[in-house]
Amino acid sequence: MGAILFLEQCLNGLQLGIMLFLMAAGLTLIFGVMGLINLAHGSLYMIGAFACAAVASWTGSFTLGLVASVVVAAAAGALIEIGVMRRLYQREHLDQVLATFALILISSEAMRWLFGSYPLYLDVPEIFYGAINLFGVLQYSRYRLFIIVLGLLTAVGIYLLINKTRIGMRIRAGAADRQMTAALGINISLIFTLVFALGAALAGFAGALVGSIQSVDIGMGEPVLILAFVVVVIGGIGSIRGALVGAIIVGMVDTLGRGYLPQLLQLILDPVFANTLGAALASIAIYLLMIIILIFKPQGLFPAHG
Amino acid sequence: MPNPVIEITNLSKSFGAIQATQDLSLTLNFGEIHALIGPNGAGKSTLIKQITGYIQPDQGQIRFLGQAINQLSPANRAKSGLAQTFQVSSLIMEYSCVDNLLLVVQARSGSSFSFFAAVRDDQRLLAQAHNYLEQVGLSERHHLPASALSHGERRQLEIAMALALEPKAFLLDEPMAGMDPAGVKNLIERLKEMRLQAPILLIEHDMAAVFALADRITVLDYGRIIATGSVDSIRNNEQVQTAYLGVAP
Amino acid sequence: MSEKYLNRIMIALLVGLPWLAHWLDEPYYVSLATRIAILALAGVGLNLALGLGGMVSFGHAAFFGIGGYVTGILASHAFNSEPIISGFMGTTHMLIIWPLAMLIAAIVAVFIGLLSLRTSGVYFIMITLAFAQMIYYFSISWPTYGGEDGLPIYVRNGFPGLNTLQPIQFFMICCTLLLITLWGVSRLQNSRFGNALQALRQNETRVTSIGINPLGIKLTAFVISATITALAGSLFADLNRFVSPTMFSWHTSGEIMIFVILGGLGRLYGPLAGAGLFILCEALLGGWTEYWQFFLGLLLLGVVLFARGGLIGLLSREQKNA
Repeated sequence: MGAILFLEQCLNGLQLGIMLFLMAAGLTLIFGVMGLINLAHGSLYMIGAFACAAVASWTGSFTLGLVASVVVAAAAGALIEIGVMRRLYQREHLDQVLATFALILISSEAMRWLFGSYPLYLDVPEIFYGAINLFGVLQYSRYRLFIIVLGLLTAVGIYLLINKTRIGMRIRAGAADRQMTAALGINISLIFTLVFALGAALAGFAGALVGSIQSVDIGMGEPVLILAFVVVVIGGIGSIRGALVGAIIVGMVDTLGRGYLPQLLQLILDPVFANTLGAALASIAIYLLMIIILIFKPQGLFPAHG
Repeated sequence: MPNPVIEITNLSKSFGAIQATQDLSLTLNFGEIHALIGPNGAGKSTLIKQITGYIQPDQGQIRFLGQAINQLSPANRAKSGLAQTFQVSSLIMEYSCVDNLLLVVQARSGSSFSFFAAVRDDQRLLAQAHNYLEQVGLSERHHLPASALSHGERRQLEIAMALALEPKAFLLDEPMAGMDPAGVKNLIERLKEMRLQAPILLIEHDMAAVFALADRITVLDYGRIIATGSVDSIRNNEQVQTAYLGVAP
Repeated sequence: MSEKYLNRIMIALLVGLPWLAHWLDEPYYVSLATRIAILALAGVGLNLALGLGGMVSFGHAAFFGIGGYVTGILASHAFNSEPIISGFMGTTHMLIIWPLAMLIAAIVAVFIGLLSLRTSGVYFIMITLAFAQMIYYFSISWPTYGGEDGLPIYVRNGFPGLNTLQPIQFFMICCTLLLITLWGVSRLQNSRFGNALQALRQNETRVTSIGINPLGIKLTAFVISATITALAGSLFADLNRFVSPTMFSWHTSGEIMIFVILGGLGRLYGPLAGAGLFILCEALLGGWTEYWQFFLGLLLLGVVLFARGGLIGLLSREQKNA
């Protein structure tokens, strides 16, 4: 029984990790290529979820909702890039933090204006109802399994896009040396818009997928944003590989910590106290992890630029 | 005063596969100008950074005034009397000229942990700051922010800041870079005076200036010393001519 | 209009208007002014690290919240007559609470500062945010002091000779602390310490190379900054007679930063102008539309993109003197 539960927790951790990767990939690309801290990335996650919920309830098709989440978030991303972000690339980090914080306020209130303050709920298609038997021993939610698989496929897709395609090569060149890339005649500002829209689309997609497990509401992007930042910082800012490793680590530590820290502490402490302390420690475990990693590796696990 | 002022023994530093400093030993004696020359990438700046403490050597020892200073922080090395000027002017850009110097005088004379008395009310500090400004001929520009100075004036201000530390040794990284001929001539005269205060380890590409000033010259290439000696012996050294002077313009 | 003149007008308005409101029997406006004074104080704290020292701390909510929670915890123990540690029953005296709140914030700030100041740039922003988040989640999941629900302060803490329940008297306490702090920071700005700190913001290598140890200066500034923000947190707890994990949230860190930026980064009175503008926006726009933060966002975006001197910069049309 314990082993089965552990397996389930691991799958949950993996699922969280993969969703975090979809967020963190965009954040880290945007930082690596444009040198921009984007706090509003969580808003794109939220926008994707709302777009999915609205379109799904309007058309009755979850698939169309998912498509809408990607399209709307990418469009919003491109709009934000052209309207605001361009003016920030050469600015200090402080200006970037504040301007993107302002964008959070603007987009959260705009969503509240459009959709009201009450959370929306997303229905997943019937084939994802219930549980599926895995390895003959574990009953696991079909939908969660679906998003693990879909997330993994997306991660592979991003990897191929960045490493194997022409556009990916240009993005990597842009990250390595902006002036050089511009000198080679590559339209750098188009690349920037594309990267931003790609990051936004990934965030929106993640928002839609997670929105179906939880609910779709205004503040939903913020906890995820901060977790994604932890991922990016642990992995090394600008590194896609670091984002993947960091996301899996954070997903696992967070899920397993919540599942097992209280029980572990019960071995050495009074049960009631152990539960309280365990829950409190579990809620801060990933931040502790990040701080410890930064003490030993101030540039994260995979420093992107030498 | 202990002699040599700076004594470097068997210093080595590598970055990955690149040996920036290879088993290097040299001294800076009281009263002298010791010039350090070599092509770009020879490891001159890396050497200076190891002396000033911004880069830790892999091996070897640096002694300053007879004391091993390997474990000292950059700030404490400066405090014990190592003054440096930078290849690219490094100033407090929003501060006026006199405020740049005031900061140095403040750092040299006591602690920066005083929270209440206005530093600009301290007439003694202010007088010292003006005095150093006058020494380099910037008195009339005292109220201008460093950012408003010309390139040559910024170099002058850097020299004034080095002087204001009243150091036991100067480390000057290409002080002539980008100066017009009149400025270079001026600076040569200034360095001649400065060497009476404290010896100078001088990195410089302007060979005429080096030959005019140096008591000793050390030539670096690929992090190693390929020759060291008097001006004449370096001028006539074949190895130096092929490695460096031969390719110089 | 010169910046100096503008500062005097702001102080006159801050001190004068609440008395007018008091005289007109409008306690709501007195408490609005109290909030401005308290939030300005929090901003003055952050401005010391951010504006003078260039340390972009995105975690000052940690200190604001610590100030609040120390106040709430001491008061609730005193109220329930339960000892915190054997023999110490907590207290309801502001004059004991403030130094304790500031001391505890200072201890935490030394710890956070020592670890955070090893990094720089984005990593510094993120690690300060992470520390604040850590405390935030801890405060939510630790049930002893109310957890997610927060902790009420049943009776506002006392100050000898004053009735702190009277809005105008509590306002005078907050306003006086703000003025004293502003005066202290203005002295600090021009002191040897302030001279070194502001130079460090501009050129750390240069300052190091003349023999000033950057870590010592920055850490000290970070700690002083934290204690000021903690004092503001303590007053904020007493104003609301309630503390909750929201005080630790990253929105709070963002808002304190907004006060500093709206007013004008590095300007002594910037946080007062910024907090004033923020609270007035909240009161005026908030009365007109439920979605006032939408407009706050637009305003902030406009200031960051187009008016980098903040409100004071716009009104005084004066370059910030270094």
